[in-house]
Amino acid sequence: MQELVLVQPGQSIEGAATRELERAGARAEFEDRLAECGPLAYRIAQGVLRNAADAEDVAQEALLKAFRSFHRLRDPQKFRAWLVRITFRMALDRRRSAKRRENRETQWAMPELRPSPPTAEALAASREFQIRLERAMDELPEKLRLVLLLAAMHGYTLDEVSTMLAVPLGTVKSRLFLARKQLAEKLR
Amino acid sequence: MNCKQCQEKILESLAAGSAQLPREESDHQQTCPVCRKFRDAQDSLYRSMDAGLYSVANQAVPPSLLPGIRARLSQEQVADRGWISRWSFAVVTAVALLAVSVGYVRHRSENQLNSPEVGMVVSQSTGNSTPVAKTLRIPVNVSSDRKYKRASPVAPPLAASETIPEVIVLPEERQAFARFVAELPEEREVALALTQPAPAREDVPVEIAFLKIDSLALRLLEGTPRE
Repeated sequence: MQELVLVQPGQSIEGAATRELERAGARAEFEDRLAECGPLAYRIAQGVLRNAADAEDVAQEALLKAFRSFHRLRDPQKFRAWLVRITFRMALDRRRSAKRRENRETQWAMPELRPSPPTAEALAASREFQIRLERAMDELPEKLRLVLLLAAMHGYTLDEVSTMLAVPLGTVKSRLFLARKQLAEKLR
Repeated sequence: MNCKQCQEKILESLAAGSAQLPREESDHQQTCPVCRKFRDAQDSLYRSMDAGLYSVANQAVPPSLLPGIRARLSQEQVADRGWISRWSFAVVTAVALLAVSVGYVRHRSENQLNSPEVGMVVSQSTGNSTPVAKTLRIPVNVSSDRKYKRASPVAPPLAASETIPEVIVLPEERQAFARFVAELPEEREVALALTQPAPAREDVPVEIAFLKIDSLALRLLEGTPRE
């Protein structure tokens, strides 16, 4: 049986006001998460891209995306896990498209006009090691790389990493072990 | 335990992040300078690696990050509201258009019902020349086996069984055409006056095409002597 509901003349305005209040509430709640999750998103993006401007852009995009889906992600654990995954994915996509662009430009550029790579002697030992480390990280499988990044981040235990990635703690430990082992082999 | 096994254990313990080696490997290392050297080298490598990872993973967050996100969130919300208002405008416009078109269709159908019956524009005759003044039936001097060739592919082909082909026109056009017919003295010229003169030979097919008007001038209607 159908139910008829009488609508008062002012009700639509009240509905709009309620929606506006809900929106403001969601925004305030999101702002609370932003203080913690903003830097997290940035560091993940920076870990993949290693470019401050690109990382900031990707982090902002990811957080905007998170805000749009905030009604589904009210649970803080879910929100953080989702944000970590989406930021990592977006950063990888950005890196891939940047690499494609770089390759295209390299093909067209005159090789003899490009500056010659700095010699090993010119580089400080620590800087050289850092470059090698970053290259080695890029070669790691995505799953291992993300665990390595999150585990190296200040303030997150392996338990928290396992919650963020929604995988068991044992999986996080084994991925971390493999990542460190492979990384050391590449650097040796 | 040999050196190879010991070195494998050293690598595993470093990769796992544990500082302590198992007792057996620890004993071997104390007596074997090669394994001790290997352990020191690997330990140094892992320490450098951890330091490098820490610096990669803990980059300073730019101060513009959070204000930037807040600004984009505000833009997003404004855009959302704009989208809603645009959407409601589109709905109102669509409803208004629908109402206008329904009104037009109804008006047109009422007009069709009220307009005088104008009959057919093109019809067949037996060859007798009947006066056409004031009548809406326009005789065409064609034989019964005359074929009609259509220029427009949109118009449906005439069935062979149909003896009286019809052209459906708007009531206004029908009225105008009836008036036009009433003014013309020669009935032979009337039937095909819209497209081309009537063919002289009877076996030549009649061609029907859409009338194209390149320019149109509107003038006040002047009364005829008969009116």
